[in-house]
Amino acid sequence: MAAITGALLMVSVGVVPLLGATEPVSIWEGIYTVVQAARGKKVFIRACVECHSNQLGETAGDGTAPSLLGKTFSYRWTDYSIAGLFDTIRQTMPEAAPNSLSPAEYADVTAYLLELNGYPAGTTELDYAQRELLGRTLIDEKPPED
Amino acid sequence: MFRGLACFISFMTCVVLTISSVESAEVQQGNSDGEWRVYGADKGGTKYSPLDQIDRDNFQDLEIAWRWKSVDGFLSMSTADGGEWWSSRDAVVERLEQETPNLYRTQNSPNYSNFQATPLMIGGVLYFNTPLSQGVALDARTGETRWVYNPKSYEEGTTAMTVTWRQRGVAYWTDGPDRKDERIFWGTGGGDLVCVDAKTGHPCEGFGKHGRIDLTIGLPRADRSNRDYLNAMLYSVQSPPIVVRDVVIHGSSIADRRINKEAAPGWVRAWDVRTGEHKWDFHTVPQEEDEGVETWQNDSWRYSGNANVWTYLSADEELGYVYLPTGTSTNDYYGGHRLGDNLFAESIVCVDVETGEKVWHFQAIHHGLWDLDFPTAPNLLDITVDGKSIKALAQVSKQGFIYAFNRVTGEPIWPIEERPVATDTNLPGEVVSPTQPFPTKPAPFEYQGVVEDDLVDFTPEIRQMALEAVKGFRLGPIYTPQMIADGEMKGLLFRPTGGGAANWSGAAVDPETGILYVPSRNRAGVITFYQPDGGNLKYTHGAPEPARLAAKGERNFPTMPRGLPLLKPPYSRMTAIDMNTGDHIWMTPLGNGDLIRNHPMLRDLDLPPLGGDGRGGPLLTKTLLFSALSAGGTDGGARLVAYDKATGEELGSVNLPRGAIGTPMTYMVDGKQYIALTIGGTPPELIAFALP
Repeated sequence: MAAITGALLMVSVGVVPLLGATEPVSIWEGIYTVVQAARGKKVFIRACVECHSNQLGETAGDGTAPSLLGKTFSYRWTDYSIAGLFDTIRQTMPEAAPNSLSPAEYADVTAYLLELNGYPAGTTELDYAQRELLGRTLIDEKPPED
Repeated sequence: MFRGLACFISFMTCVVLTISSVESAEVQQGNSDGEWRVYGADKGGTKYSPLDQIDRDNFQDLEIAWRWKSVDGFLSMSTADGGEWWSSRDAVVERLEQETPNLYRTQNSPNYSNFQATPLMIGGVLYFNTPLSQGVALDARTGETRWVYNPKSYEEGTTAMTVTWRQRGVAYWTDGPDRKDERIFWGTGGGDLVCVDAKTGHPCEGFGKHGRIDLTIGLPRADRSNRDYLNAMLYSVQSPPIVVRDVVIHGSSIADRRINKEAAPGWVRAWDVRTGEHKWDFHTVPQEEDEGVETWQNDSWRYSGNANVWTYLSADEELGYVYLPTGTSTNDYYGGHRLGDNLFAESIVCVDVETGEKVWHFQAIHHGLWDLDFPTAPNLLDITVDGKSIKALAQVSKQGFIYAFNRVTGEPIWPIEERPVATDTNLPGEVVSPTQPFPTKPAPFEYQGVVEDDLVDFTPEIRQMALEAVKGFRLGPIYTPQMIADGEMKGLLFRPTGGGAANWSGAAVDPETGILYVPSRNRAGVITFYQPDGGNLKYTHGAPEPARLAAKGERNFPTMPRGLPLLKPPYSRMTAIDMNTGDHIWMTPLGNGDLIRNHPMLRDLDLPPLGGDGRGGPLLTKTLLFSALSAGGTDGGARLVAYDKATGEELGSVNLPRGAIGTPMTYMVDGKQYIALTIGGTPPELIAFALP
């Protein structure tokens, strides 16, 4: 009973780790969760909104932070790996204090960006510990085949 | 009575001057007793300490001696019954918002993240302030809190933009070597100047009103009860004041982002350290009778503002001069409402601390259109150029130039040439300055302008991507005029941007050698102009326009595919310049830039270090130069790097638990040397390293 409850709890919380998976998961299967993206939104408001604005265009800072939405985002990141996106955000942002958030916060904010750009959520949280696998998951602009 | 007083005053002035001149040799030379008495080490902003217990041989052995969590994470609020309720930042802010709807700008309630302070260390105690404008004193040996003073500035509203909720440090004053009366000063997000007793943290009763001065009184267009179009306050102080003799002097934060042309002027204000009596204002935006008023055409001085010193200041105690590094005037990128050169924006102004009178000035950019504020106090240093001793001043800049002057007279050390620049723009109503100053020496320390040749060329294929990416954008050398997107024209791609080559962490100078060390970043940007609804500005910049364009499927930014860089490296660097000759000595990229080096399309090229791992503020000691970088630590983490200051060779690094926020400093207590800096966290922390 406890084991079933535990398993149900894990599923409902949405934390189903990729441990044991050897094939990279397609981004269209959902590589983050709704709950994680909500956490990521909070991180974004605390650490990112000042330069990237709550409409994710550029705003304050030096006025030149690029848009994180639409064509500017997808053109830049298509065919790049999730790990690469995560690493870029982590090592360069926030601009005045790069790598000052925790790895989990960077994963959460990456999830939020994916959500905003229309990539589907799934049952698996984006987890920095999986970065070898994430290195092989590409950001794909094409719609899913089926 | 008056004659006697006059005699007494002139006698005391002599005494004061004598004491000052004895101290001044130390004041620009770093601290001689393991202390760190000013934000930038000393009033000359050297960022230098002669301590050498930590050296190249033992640096890698550094361990974290203690960690201190920011008090901003756990706040207090007065209750109706006269009690004091303590809880998490989140809970207190939620309560404040319930009690006063619309208290804060949307998604900009009190935020503890930007813990940018560099602490002072005096007499075994560290002094600094927090993003929520609390002042703090810690035991420098243990990190134990001695006192906190919370002026509760955050209960008033969101701090003035552009960057909100940050503080970079405090200033210290004492009445003499016995340190009977010791005070700590800082400005708050709400627009006050606060004075507390350094020993106890309690506000100085005799200063202003119970230890506080409302800095908005006497300033036009800075009404404390007003809010801007995004519901933020109009005036804040976010950088440390400076104390020179018995005068406390400070700048201000005034919004760059706006839809109206009216703005508070960034006048630099000065107050008596004991009483808080107002001593003078320097009108960085001149008024009717002031010099420079004719550089604001059509009476635009009546409503224009900014030209503020949003950063910290430097001073020569012996001369009694304070040096003001001012910012861009109102509406950073469109100057159609403020035609003319706009003195004293984007200038260095030397002011007499007793009278507030200008001694000399130099304007680096006329009618600025690129948000190239002076972001840091000028470095003061004594050098020998062509056999002549000069009391010098070196101002590093966002634009990548160093402006070097005799700090007494304002005479440039090497010629600064006024050169013609392009003036064509498609922004109606704009009139661009036909010339700009160009220092002939030293050579710029960072890339300037963007032309085709600057585009990345790791491979022909990548080069072609870059050429595609910039199609439609105007390219050009530095000081090319802004463009509004119109048909095929997408805007001006310019470099450096307001984020700077250099920024507020500035440069370090070595008082023994006259070498200046400046970290800088290589980034280009595009401004998206639009016509605001409901404001009186013809054109302004920023959100919501880029999001609107993105929603239409347009790219407002030259974008490389697959996360590739657009421009040639290095993406950030540290440069050493001998200010005795104006020559560059060495340059090193800041970090390997493995993010890019290991890119699938680049990893086989085995590129050299590319920089781009941040632009950590410099700390200079007897033998070492430090900078905190964002990568290269274990597990891709941040690290504090030590460089050989003579060669730029990376000597080693120690891991940081999180990326650094503020510039590091160093001090010695009980024979032990520490390096302290702020790092990220929830809440952020101040940590100190020492040898085991």
